[in-house]
Amino acid sequence: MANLTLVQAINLALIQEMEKDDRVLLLGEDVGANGGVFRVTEGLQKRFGANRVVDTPLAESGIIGASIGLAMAGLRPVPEIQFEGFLGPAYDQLCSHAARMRTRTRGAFTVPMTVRVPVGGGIHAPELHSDSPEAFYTHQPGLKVVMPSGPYDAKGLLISALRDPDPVIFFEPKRIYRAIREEVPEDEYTIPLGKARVVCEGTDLTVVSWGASVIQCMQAIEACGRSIELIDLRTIYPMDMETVEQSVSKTGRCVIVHEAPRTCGVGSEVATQIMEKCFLHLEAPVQRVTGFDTIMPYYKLELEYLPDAARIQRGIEDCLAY
Amino acid sequence: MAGLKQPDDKSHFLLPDLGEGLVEAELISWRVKPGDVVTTSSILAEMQTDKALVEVPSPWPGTVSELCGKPGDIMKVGKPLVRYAVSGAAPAAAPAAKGPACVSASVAAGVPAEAEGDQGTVVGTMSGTLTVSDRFARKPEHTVAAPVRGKALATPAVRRIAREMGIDINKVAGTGHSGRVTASDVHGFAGGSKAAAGFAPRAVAASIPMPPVDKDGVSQRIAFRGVRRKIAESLERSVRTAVHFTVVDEADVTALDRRRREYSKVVGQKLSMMPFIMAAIVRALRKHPSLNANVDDANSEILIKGVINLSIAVDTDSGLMVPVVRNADQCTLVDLANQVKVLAGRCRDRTISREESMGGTFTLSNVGSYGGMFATPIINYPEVAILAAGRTKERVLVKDGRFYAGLVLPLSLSCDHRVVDGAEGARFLNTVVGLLEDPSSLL
Amino acid sequence: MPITNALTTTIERISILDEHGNFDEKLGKGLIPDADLLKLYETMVTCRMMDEVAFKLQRSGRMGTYPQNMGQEANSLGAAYALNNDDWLVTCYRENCGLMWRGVPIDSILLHWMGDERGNAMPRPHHATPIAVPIGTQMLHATGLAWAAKYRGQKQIACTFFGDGATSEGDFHEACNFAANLDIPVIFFCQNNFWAISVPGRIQCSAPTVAQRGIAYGMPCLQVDGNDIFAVVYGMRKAIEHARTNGKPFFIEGVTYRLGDHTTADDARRYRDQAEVDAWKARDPITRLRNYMTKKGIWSDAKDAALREAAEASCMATIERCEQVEHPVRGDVFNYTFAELPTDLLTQRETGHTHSLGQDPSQLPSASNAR
Repeated sequence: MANLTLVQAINLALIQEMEKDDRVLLLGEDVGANGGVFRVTEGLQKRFGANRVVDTPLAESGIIGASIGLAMAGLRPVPEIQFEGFLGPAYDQLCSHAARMRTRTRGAFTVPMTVRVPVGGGIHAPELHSDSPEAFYTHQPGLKVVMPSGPYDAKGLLISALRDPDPVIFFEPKRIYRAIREEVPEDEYTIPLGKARVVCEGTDLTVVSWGASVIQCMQAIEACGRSIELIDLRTIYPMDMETVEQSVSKTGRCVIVHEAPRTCGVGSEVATQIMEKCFLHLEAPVQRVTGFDTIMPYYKLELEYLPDAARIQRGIEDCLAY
Repeated sequence: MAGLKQPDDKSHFLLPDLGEGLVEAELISWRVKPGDVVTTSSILAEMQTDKALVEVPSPWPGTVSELCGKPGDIMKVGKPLVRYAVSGAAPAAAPAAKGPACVSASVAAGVPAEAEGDQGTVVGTMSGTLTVSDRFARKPEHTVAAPVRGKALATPAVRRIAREMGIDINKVAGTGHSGRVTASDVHGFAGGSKAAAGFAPRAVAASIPMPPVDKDGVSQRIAFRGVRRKIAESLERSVRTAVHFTVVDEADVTALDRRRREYSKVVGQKLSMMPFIMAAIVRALRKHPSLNANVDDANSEILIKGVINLSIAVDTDSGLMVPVVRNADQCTLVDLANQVKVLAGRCRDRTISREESMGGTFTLSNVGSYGGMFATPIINYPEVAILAAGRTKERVLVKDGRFYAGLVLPLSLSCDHRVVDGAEGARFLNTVVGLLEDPSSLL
Repeated sequence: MPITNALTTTIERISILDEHGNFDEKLGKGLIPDADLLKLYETMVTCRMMDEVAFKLQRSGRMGTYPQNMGQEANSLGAAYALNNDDWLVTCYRENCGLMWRGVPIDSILLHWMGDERGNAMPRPHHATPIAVPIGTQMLHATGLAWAAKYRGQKQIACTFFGDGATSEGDFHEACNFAANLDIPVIFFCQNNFWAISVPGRIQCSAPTVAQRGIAYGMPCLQVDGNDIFAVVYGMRKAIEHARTNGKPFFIEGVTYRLGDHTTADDARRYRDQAEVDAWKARDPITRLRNYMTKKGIWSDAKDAALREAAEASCMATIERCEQVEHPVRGDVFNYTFAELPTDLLTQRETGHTHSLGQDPSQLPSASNAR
C-alpha cells in the first residue's frame, strides 16, 4: 500500500472514478493543462482528454451554473472553485438552484454534482485564500458539506460524494495538502457521507473537530496527558450527531474546534445539539475553540488567528477544570 | 417496537419497548452466551416487565459477541441488550489501513518541505510535514465504547447545588425522571431538612434517608428482585398517589348461598361465591359509574370507563398478581368462574401475558379464602376502587326480631378519595350488599 | 501607420409580416405551411385566453401572483415551432406559448403560480426546464444542458429565453462567454419587451440593439420583429442551422412589448404612458396574424368566434382541474430535499419538532402523515 498525500489521494480517487464512470467530467479554472494550482488534477487532462477535463473561463457563477445544467442532463460534473474565497460569486447558483432543484421539481430534475474547493488558512497566502465558509453552506438546506482531515478519508469520502445523487461541496483543507502522508489503499473503498470517525477513545472529555484542525487537536490531546476522545466529523452536513451524543454522554465534557469564526460557526450547531441531547450528562459547558470574529488576517498575523495546539489545549484544560 | 430504530449494521440490538410505554425491564436470565450463533427464533433473554415475564427473541440471525448486562440488572429501553459480531467488510466498507498513521520525516512546521518537484500553488507556501503519534493510528472502524457506569444524570442547575454543598453528585441516588438526581436528592443526601422549591412531590417522599438495617440474626437472605420487586413498586406507587379510604359492611348471603348450591348442581360445576360477588359488583358499577374508572395522573384526567374489566387478585408464590376478566358484564356466572380459574392458573405457572393484566377498571380481592374478616385493601393503580371479600362465617342473625343461623360475608371497599366521595363509596357498597342479600335481584 | 479596422460588423433586422399587413414574399414564401399557421394561431389565442382567465383568477383570490405573457406570444411560439422536440427549452416565465406548443400541459404552469411545486415536475420528454424565478440565472443551465448533449455526441441544442433586464445580470454574460468560448450550441433568445417591471430598457442596455451584445462573444447576432411569427421562425432557423451544424451559440433578439403589467402585483400605469401601450397594441402578434390569414382566405370571423369560445371552455376546464388537485401532503416539505433523507430530517418530518428535549428523538411517536 502506498503512503499518499492528500493531493495524491484525491488525484487517485478522481482517476479511479473517471475510469469507472464516463459521466464524470472535471471543469474549472486551470484544472486542465496546468493540473490545478495545487496540482490536484495533475495529469488528468492528458489521460482523459480535454473533453473531460475542461479549462473554463474565469467565472465562478458560470462554472457552477453550467455544472448544474450538465448535472440536470444526467452527467456527473465535478467543478472546482479555485479557492474558498471565490465561492461568493457562485453562492447564488448553489443556493438558488443546486440546493433547490430536486424539491422545486419534485425530483423531475436533480443535481448530482460535487464541487471541490480548497479551504482554510495556514499557507501564507494573500487575502481570500485562507477562509473557512463551511457554515454558509451547512445552513442551506439541500446541500451536503464534506471536509476530510487526511488522505485516507479524503479518497473514500470523495468517491462517495461523486456517487451521491445530490449536490456535495467537498472542502479540501489546503494546509495539509502535502503535510500528511497516510497509507491509502489502491483498491476501491468508500466512506459513507454522514458518518463521523472516532479517532481515539477516552473517558474524560470529547473533542469534536474537522478538517486540518484535527491535527492540532491530536497535538493538544497528546500534550494534555488525559484520557480524551477525539471525533472527526468528516461530514458536516448531514452531521453524525449520534456518535457525538454517545461520546459526550459518556465523557460529560466537550470542546469543539474549528478554524471558521466563532459566531454562528458550525460549532454553535454542534454545541446546541449536545445541549439538547446530552443535557443530563453535561458536567461543564460545551467549549468552542475557534477563529475569532474578525476577518482572516494577512499572513503575518495568520498564526494568531488559527486555533493552534496550545489554544486547544487551554480550552480542554479549562473544560476539565470546570 | 414502534419508533425504535435498530442500527443498520446490526452490530447491536437495542432493547425495544416490550409493552406499552415501557422504559425499562429487569433482566432475569440470559438464554445465550457470547459466541452463540442465533436465529430469529432464538430467545436471547428473559425479562421482567411491570406485569409479565417476557422472552426476548433475537431480531436477526447472527453471532452474539457481548451480553450487555447481568441477571438482576435493570435494562433501559433503547439501550443495547446484546452485541453481535459484525462479519468482514461489506463490499463498500473501508478496509482498515494497517500500521501507524501519519509518519513522515519529522520536520517542524515552518521549514519548507524537500523539493519534491512542482508543488503548484501560485499563491502561498505549503509548510513542512506534520507528525502525530500511534495513539491516533487508524484502527478498523469502531463505535464509541460503552458508557462509564456510576455517573449521575443531573441538570446543570442541580449540579451547581451539589457543588456548592461540596457533594460528589455521582454518589447521590437519583429519584427523578429517568433516574436523574434532583435537588431534593442532593439535599436529602446531605441530611438537610430544606427541600428545594418547585420539585415534584413524588421525589420528596423517597429522599428521606433509609435508616440502617440490623444485619444480626438473619436466617435467610432473599434477593428483593423480580416479580416481588415489581409488585412492591406497584403497591408503593398506588399508596403514594391514591388517597385511600375504606368502608366496611357485611352481607347476609344465607339465601345466596342456597342459590349458589342449586346453581352448581344445575350447571354441573362447583361454583364458589366469587362469580356471584363479581356479578353483584358489575351491577353496582353500572349504578355507580364513578367507581369504574382509571386515573390518568400525568394528564390530570379521570377516565370513567364504559367497559367493565374486573381485575381479580391472585396469590402466587411470587406474590400478588392481578389478571383481568374483560367485559365482565357480558359474562355468565359460569364464564366468570371459568375465566377466573384459567387466569389464576396462568398466574401461578407464570404464563400470564402482560396484556392479560392490563385494562382493569375495578378489582376484587378474595382474601376470605385465607381467613379474616375485614381488610384495608390497596387499590390496583390506576383504578380507583377495590373490594375485598372476607371469609363467610356462620353467625346468629336477627331479622324482624327473630333469630336465625345465617351466613355472613364481610366486605371491605377501598376507594381513591380524590375521585370517589365517601358517600358514593358507601352507597356503592350498600348496593353490592343489597344485591348479595337479594339473589332474585342479582340473578 | 494608418488606423485599420480590427472589426466591422452589422446587425441585421428581419421583418416579414408587418403590423400593416405587408408580407415579404421573398423571405416569407413557403416558410410556414397554412396548416401549421392555423395551429400556431390557435395556440396563440389559447395562450392569450389563459392569460386573461389567470388574471381574473388572481384578482378573485384563487391564484397567487401571475405574470401575464400578453403580447409576447410569437417569440417563444416561433422558436418552439422551429426547434426539434428534443431541443432543450430553458425558459424564464414569459414563454407559456412555446411551452404549450411543446406539449407541456398548462396545468403545470398554473400549478406553479398556485403555489404547488408539482407544477414543476415536468416530464423529461418535453425537454423543458421549470419556470425560472431568479432573473438571468437559467441561461447557464442551458449552457450546461447543451454542453451535455455535445459531450455525449448528440445533435440536441438548447434555446434559452430571457428579457432585456436579464442581460444586465452577470450570469447572462457568463453563460454567453462559456458557450462562445467552449463551443456550446446554445441559442440565446432575448425577448426585448422594453420593460423590466418599471425600469425601461434603456437602463438595461443603452446600445442601439440588444442583439449586439452577442458581438462581444463573437456570436452571430440577429434582431427580428418579435411580434411577427414569420420573422421569428426565419431568424430561429438561421440560429438553429448555425448551432446544430457548427456547434456554436447564436444570439437572437425578438423585439416585442409587454402589453400587460409585470405581474398581477404590478400596476404599469404608474410608470408608462397609455399612448405607448396603445401603439404596441396595434402591433399585437395575434391581430396581425388573424388579419393575414383572413385576407389569405384561410380564416374568418365566424371561425375566430368559435375558436375563442372553445379556447375559453378549455381554459375554464383547466382551471377547474387545477383547483381540484388535492392538497400536497405535509411530508412533501421534506421528502424531496435529498434523494435519501438523513436522520435529522426524518426526525423533523416525523415529530414536527426542531428541538429534542434530552431524550432520543427517534423514540418520539410519529406526529402526522408521513410520505
